[in-house]
Amino acid sequence: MTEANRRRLSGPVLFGGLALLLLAAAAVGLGVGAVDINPIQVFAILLDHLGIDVGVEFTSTQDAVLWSIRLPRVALGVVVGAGLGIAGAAFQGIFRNPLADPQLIGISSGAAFGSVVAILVLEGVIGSLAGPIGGVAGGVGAGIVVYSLARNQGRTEVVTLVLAGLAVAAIGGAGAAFLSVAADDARLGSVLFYSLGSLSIATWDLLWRTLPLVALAAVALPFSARRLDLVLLGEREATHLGVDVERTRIMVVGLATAAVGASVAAAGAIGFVGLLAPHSIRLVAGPGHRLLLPASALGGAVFVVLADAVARTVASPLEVPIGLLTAIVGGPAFLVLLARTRRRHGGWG
Amino acid sequence: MRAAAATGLGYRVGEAVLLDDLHFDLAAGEMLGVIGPNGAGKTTLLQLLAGELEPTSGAIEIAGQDISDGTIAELALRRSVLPQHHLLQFAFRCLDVVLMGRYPHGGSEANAQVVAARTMAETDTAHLVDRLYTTLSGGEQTRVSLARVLAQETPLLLLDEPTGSLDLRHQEIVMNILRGLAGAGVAVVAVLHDVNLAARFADRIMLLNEGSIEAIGTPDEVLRPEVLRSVYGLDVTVIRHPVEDCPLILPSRGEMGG
Repeated sequence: MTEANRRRLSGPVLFGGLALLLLAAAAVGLGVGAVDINPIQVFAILLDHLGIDVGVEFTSTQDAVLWSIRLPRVALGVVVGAGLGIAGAAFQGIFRNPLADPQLIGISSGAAFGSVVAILVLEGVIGSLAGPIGGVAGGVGAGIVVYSLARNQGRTEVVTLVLAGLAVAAIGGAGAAFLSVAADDARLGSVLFYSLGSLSIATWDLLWRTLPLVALAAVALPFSARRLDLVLLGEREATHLGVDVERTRIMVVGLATAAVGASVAAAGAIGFVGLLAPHSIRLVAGPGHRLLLPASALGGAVFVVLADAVARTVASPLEVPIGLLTAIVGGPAFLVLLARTRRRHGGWG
Repeated sequence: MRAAAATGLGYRVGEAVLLDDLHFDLAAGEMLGVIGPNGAGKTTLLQLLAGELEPTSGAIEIAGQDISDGTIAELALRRSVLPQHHLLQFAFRCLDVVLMGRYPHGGSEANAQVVAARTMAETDTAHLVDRLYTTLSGGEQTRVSLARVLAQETPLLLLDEPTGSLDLRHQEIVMNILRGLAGAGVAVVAVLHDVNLAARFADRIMLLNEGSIEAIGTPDEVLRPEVLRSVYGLDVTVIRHPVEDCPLILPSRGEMGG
C-alpha cells in the first residue's frame, strides 16, 4: 500500500473508535488483578455507588477493591496517559520534530527532579500540591535548558534537541533517584518510582491534584491546533501566514509542560507514551492538529491504562514498573522513527 | 498605484554591510525580477520585504503603510512569500497544505475551498489534491507551495527562486502564472538565478551587486554586456531573442572577463 493512497479516518470515526477502546481498556483495568471483577459486576458496582441497584451480585470486597483502589488507579492512568499523549503531540508540532517525546527531550526527568525537590522542601509549606507544582517548575527548567541548546540561528535542530534532552534526562533522573535514596522519605516512594513510573500510589486525592493541569492542557492546546499545523510548514512560513510563532511557542510549550509536570508528579516518568500515541494517530488520521491533539490524549490514556493492567498482572503478585512495559513497545517504535527521520534528513551530518 | 517602496534601505550584521542604501518603487501589476551573483544580497532583500528582518537603516512601505505598522497577522494580508526551500516533513494532503494559505483570511472561510481549487488548477497541481505532500517530487512540492502562497491572495507576492527545482515546462507554467497575477494587479518580486527568465518575463529587472543596486530598469536597459561582464565577472554576448521581444544572454565559453 502506498502511503499516498491510504485512507484517513474522519473525526467521528476516530473519536468513536478511541472512546470504545478507552472503555474496553478501562473495563480490563478495573476487572483484572488479585480480585476478579467481571465487566458486568464493574458496571453494577459503579451504578450502586450512584444509588442504582441493577440486581447483579458482587461482594463487599469487590466493591471496596473497585471503588477505593482500582477506579482511582484507572482514572489516574487515563489522566496521566492523556497528559503525556497530548504533550507529546504538542511538543512534536511546535518543535517540528517527530522525535520530541516528553521523556526523550528531558522534560519528564526535569519534572521528576522538580517534584522530588518540592516534596522534600516545600510540602510543609504549600501542602500536597508541592508535587505537581514542583513537577511543572522542573519541567519548565529542563525545557529551557534543552531548548536553548537546540536552538541555532532561529531554528530548532532535530538531533541536538534529542541529544540535549538525553543529557538533561540523565541529570534530572539521577538527581531524582539520588534524592529519593538519600532522603529515605516515605513520601517519595521507591527509587524506581520516578525513573520507571507507577500508578500504584493512586488515590482519589492524587487524582484530583493531577487532573486540573492535564485538563487545562487538554482544553487549551486544541485552540493552537491550526497554528501548530502552520508551524510545521516552517517557522518563517508560519510567520508569513500571520502566526506569532514566539507567542504560540510559549503557549504550547507552557501548557504541554504543565501536563507533563502534573503527570510525572503523580506517576513518575512513564516513557514513550508521548511518542507512541501521536504517531499511531498520525498513521490513521494524518498530521493535522485539530484531530491529533485530542486524539493523542485519548490514545495516551488507552495506552497507559492497558500497560498498567499488564504491569499488575503479568508477574503477579509482583508488579512490574509500567515504564518497562511502555519502553518494550515504545523503544522499537522509536528506532523505526529514528531510521525514518534520519533518511529524510539525509543522515546526521 | 504604488504597491511597495524602499527608501535608503540598508541591512548590516556587525561590520558586514549586506545591503546598502537601496531606493526603489514597485507599481501594482508590475513584475520585478531580482538578479545578481551569489552573495549580492538578493535573499536579504526578500527577507526585508517580507518583514522577517528589520532594516538597520531606511524604510519599507507596502500598500502605502510602513511595514512595521500593524501586526504579523495584518502583514499576512498584504504580502505573501514563497521560500526557496520547502521544509514540511509531516504527511499533510496537498489540499490541506494549500488551505493553510487561507489562514490569514480566517480559518473556516466558506470560499477557502474554492480559492484552493482555483490556485491548484493554476499551478497544474489539481491532480495532486489527495496526494501526501511528503511523497511529491521537488518540483511538485514547489508548485503546491506556490498554490498555497497564491491562496493567500495578497497584493504583493515575494518569491525566492520559484523556478529552482522545476523542469522546463513547469518553469514556463510558473512564470506565466506570475505574469498572469501581475496582469491582475498583483505586484510580484521574484529572485531569479536564470537571467534569461528574468529577461523574458519581468517588467523591470533589479541587478544587485555586493549589496547595492547596480542597475534597475527594463530588461533592455539592465542586461547590457558591459554591465553583466563587470558584475558577474564573465564574458557574455547579448542578442535579440529570435521569437520574443527581449534580450537573450549567452555566456561566452571559456572567456572569463571582468
